[in-house]
Amino acid sequence: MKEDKLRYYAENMDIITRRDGLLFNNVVFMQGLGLAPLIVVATSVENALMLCAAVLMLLIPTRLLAGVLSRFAPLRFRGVIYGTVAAGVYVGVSLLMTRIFGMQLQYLGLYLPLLVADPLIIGRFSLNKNEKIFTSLRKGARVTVSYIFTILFIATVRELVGFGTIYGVKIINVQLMPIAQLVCGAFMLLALFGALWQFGIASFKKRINLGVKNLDSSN
Amino acid sequence: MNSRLLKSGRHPGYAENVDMLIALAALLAMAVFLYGLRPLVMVVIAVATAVITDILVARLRLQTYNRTELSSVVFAVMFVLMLPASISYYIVVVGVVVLVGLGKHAFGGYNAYPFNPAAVGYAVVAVSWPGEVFRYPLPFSHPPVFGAAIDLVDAPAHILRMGGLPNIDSVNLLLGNYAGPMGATFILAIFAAAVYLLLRKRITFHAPLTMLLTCMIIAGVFPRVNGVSSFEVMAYELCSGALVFATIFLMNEPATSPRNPVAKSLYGVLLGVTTMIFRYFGAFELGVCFALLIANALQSYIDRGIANFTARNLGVTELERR
Repeated sequence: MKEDKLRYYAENMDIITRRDGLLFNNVVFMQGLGLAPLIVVATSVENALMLCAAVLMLLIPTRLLAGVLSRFAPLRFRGVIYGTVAAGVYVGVSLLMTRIFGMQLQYLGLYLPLLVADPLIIGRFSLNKNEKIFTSLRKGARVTVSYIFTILFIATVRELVGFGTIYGVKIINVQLMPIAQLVCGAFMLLALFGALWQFGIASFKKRINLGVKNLDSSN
Repeated sequence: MNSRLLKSGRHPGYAENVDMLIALAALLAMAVFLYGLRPLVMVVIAVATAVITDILVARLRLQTYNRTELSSVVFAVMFVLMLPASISYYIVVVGVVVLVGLGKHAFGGYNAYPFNPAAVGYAVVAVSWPGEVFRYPLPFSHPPVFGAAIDLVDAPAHILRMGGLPNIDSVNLLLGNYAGPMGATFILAIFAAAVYLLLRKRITFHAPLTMLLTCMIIAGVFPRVNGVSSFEVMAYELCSGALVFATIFLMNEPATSPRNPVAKSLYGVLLGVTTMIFRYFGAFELGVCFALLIANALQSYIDRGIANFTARNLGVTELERR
């Protein structure tokens, strides 16, 4: 790695980690958010796409609206506000989703409304400070994109090793690991990917630190 | 954990694991006698996979691989002996990788696993491929080493589960001359192996005895089949499936069973009750491995509870006991 790049990473690692929800601070593998729907219903790409649509429509509006509304109330009520707003937004989202996906929505069952109570959507309320409108938009978009990417990734892997298909198209003829379709198998896969992910991030940071140290000693 | 080497350079668990392998070799010989060469090939594949996984995990954990640490091999052989002789090699490989990687090393390796790795491997395989794991070839049908076996039948445990009574001669029942897991049906050979292990002090009699007694009582008091003598039902319940095999080999695993004799007996009762519940109401006919996973989760509480109870009754304070 080049010197200026090394320096840049070494100096800004904290900010990068805080701002990045996809690689360095992945919402699922590093933070463990939104696990319930991911593990139980994201068994195929089709289900994952429905979940993605729900998160896309639910997350940013909830965060934005709750952020605005909690300015008009004492800070201690922000939990109530976030929860109520999420539930209210969900009513609209569920009507829209039924319109778009129809009967297929039944596959998601309880886990679609359960998204409302997930820290992924309402986790912001735990911080003791109101959020600016622009910040909530930006961060909401960031979390949404990272979660959608991760859920699609996991669902693709689960469908491939469980059924041998991707989005219903046959790729391989054998069922490599049918247990990936079950909840226990999903936990195993998630643990495996989480370990690999954290190993990758840790070794990258180690490389940066060692590189900077070498630079300093050679200067 | 406990990975210091002895003076001879051997792993401390070496002698015990060799004894277990000797006992398992007897069962493997019976399996080869009944099903031809395929069981032997399966065991060789399983052992090779276990050793390779061990080496890979050792590299991953930046440790040196110790070839006298044989516990993975023992678990792999136990796991294979609970499968039908006709199962495809791919399933054996996946099961052993899961058993060694997930069941043993993910929790810290030798003596640190909370669940019996062989039971973990069996549970994963049974849930993944129930169609292959619960269909068995008939004895002396010699499934081909390469290619698929032709005639597969259900085990007597399956017939019991469906509410029927299997029709097997009692001598055949003791000799394992019926369709079932390839290494777990010969009650007499298992009994001989148990005597060997008892004489070598590798296992104790408390847990197996209480477990088998509990299963017998439950089978006799609440028979699944009506209209037959309760003795017959008991014999079928105990001898079908891998119950006796699991009590001798899987249950006495030192890291996953209690140390106190009273706790061991209680553990046996618990495992017996859970196994029978799994058999009566579970989704699969072979419930002992799933029951073992549940009992393993509770065993340390039983051990500690009994130790505290006896200490309190003898007037020993917590501090003195430490």
